[in-house]
Amino acid sequence: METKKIEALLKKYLEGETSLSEESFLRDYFNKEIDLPEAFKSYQKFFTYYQVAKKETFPLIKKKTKLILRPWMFAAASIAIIFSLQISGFFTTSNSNDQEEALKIFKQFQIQMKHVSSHLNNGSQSLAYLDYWNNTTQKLIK
Amino acid sequence: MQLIVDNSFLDQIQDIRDKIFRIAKRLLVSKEEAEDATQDVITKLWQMGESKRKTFRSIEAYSVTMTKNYCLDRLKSKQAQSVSLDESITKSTSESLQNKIEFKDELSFVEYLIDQLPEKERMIIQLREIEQYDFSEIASMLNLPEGTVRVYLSRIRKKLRGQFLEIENHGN
Repeated sequence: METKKIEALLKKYLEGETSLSEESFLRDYFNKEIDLPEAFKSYQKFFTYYQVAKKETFPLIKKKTKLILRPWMFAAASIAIIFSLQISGFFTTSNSNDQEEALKIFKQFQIQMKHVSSHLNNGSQSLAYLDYWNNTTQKLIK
Repeated sequence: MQLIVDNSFLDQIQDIRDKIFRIAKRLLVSKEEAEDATQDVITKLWQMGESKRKTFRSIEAYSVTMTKNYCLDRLKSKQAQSVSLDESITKSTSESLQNKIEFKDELSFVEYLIDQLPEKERMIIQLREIEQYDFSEIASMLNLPEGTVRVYLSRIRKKLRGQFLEIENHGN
């Protein structure tokens, strides 16, 4: 009985006369039924495909934006390293009261800070990377 | 600079976005290009502003039409640049019959058959079989009379089935 019904529906379908609900009936039939009459087999792939294709969604998670390493970032990172090393160096030397040494280090530090600020002033674009710079420093200080 | 996020627009666009993407992919074939097209169409919709969007009878139908036009423009400009319109087609036609026969058991064979159709026919198949719009909606989206959509659809269904059977018979 069902076979007859499906057959009639398929005929209508090919003529473009089936309604949306009849078409969804056909889709369900072809997606459930495993043991199909030979005459229906050529339709099955189509109805299965339509079912599958409807589930495709816009990929929300775009490829992770690659972290683009720019030359100035290397510079900033290395300055951050030196900077944190200097802090520890500064304190140890001041503890030993070696003022001359401390002054020398302080001057180096000043120069480095100038570098840092010049890099940070590299246009507003670079400001977006401040966080990155901060993170690195924090990691290093910890 | 802080963008004012228009939440009602985002809600509205959720379901439509997937449809736009699927339609764009059907027309442009390439997934990456479909992603770009989806972004562009949504941006355009957003830029219109709410007052203008409210004047459309259905934002969904409007977005579909917009996507269609956007993609057809894309394809046209690609053609003008004499870039092969669809590499997969030129590649596939040179494929041996044997490959096609092995291919027939996969769902991607159906996809391949559909993607071989002219754009208008692809669009009709997409809107009816996959997005499941009724004839009056499709007619207004494509700016065609309802009867024409029906005739087209019938013709395409028969054509696809014919092509499928042809390949299948070669295999036996």
